[in-house]
Amino acid sequence: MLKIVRQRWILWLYMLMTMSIIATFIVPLQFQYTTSGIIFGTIVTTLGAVLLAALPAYLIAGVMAGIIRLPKWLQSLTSVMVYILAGMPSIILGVIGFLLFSDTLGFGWSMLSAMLTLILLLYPTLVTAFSQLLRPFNQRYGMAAKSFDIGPVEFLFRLSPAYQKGKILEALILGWATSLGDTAAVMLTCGALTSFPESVMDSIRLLNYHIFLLAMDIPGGMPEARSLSLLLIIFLLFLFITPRIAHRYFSED
Amino acid sequence: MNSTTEAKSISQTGRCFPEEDKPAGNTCVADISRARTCGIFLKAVTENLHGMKFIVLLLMLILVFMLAYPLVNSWDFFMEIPISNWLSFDWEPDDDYFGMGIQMTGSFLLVLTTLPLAIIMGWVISLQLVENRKNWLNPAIVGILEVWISLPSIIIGIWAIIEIIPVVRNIFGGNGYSLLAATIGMTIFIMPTCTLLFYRSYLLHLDQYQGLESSFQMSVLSRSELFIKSQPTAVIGTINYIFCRIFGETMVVLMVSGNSLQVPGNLLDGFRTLTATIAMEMGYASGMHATALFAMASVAIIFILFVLLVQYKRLIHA
Repeated sequence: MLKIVRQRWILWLYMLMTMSIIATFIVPLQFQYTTSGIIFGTIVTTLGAVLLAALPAYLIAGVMAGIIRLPKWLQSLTSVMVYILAGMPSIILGVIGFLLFSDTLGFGWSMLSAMLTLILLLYPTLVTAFSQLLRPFNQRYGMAAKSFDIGPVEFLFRLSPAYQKGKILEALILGWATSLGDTAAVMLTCGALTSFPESVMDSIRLLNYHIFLLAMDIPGGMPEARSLSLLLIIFLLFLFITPRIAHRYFSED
Repeated sequence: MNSTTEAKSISQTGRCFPEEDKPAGNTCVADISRARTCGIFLKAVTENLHGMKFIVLLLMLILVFMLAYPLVNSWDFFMEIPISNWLSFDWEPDDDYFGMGIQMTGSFLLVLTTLPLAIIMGWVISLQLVENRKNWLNPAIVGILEVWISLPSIIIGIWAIIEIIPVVRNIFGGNGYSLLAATIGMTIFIMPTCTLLFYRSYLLHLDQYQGLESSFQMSVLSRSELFIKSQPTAVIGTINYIFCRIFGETMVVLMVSGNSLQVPGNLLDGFRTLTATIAMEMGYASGMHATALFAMASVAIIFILFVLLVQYKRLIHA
């Protein structure tokens, strides 16, 4: 046993460090400032953003996977934009969202502004995830589809979803986890109200921002911030296990 | 011959797919056939590739416009405020001093201290993962790393406040909110991304060059040397990306850096970064102060574009 640990001590050390970090958050749960509006608003905003971002990301992933053939300069431009947006800090995306959606377009601090800002954040994640599932599918069935006179768009939006439901769901869940994990992009666009939202134009406080405020601004809020962090970690773990099950039961290919 | 009979005949003769590629249940041919017969209208509408080119171009233009929008909004600032003012070290927006020097220095110092640590630790763990890729520990660690990547940065921030700040305070004195605490927190936060990027590019590399493992065993080079020499683009791309992630990280830094408006003299001093300033002051800024924050965002965008695109041709070819 000792020999095994000695051989792979770095990996064991890393596992131990992860356990110790998670253990920091294991405290008696305490909820005093958290409202149902925060939870509901967070779920609606992040899920809405994923669904809104999915269609353009899927189309661009089709271009990057070589299913839709466009001029080379346009294909390069799509790749470069994904690369640039992936490296762009989330606070910068927040500033863009604040300027464009909250200010210029007049959506104010609202769920809609936060959703549209999150699309920018999710775009590179979703494009990469979709292109990873589309590339092998195209290599495998692309030629066969051509022989049946099936065009690229039909191949992309009809055949691929029919065969890769599980993998697409996995990519969408990954996108949801990404959007749940971000704070800086939405703290400038969603506002900070804790009441239950009645429309997408209402201001809400997203869970991450709520945890940040509890930890930094609200006196005595740290125990609740720790409780919420623990719940968020558990939910993210659940989100990472679910796609594997979805992939096993929903993917026909 | 209509499409259904054509599909049937192909499925019977098995000419559509090679035997090993045939999908389970042989439903693919039927689906392709169904898609063809059902999708005539859809096809007429969507298979116009000129239209597709237009849609993709429009999407790209929207993204370019969005990235350029802070620059458009801060144009007045760059025109009105002299360069000596906004490159100075005086940040007093109420008195018309908009120097970004302190924040830029803070960001660069954080990158300077965190980047080497994150790269080295990520590299070591990824090599361990490659060496033990047939061990049960490998999928467990890779799973943990994947969860780590999606973990909100505020969770690391809270952990740093609870665990790191008291340790720094007890060992080195001061209030604990310092460059050292931010470096430790950021290294822990960024290392999983770094590890997974190195690990995946190494695995991809192994797939591409099947003989790499045997050549490694016969060569005098170490595994790291072999990888860097044969795959420089992956290494440079990862370093560029990690650089941008550290430069742009907001929440962890905001929570543990102390946000003092000063250039840190040593590792135990508090400091403030560009992104933390935007996050802190955007809520109440107005007039030229708000425009200065947009200008700060524009400077960050231009800088990150420069770092990302410095290896543009190499990365595109890769």
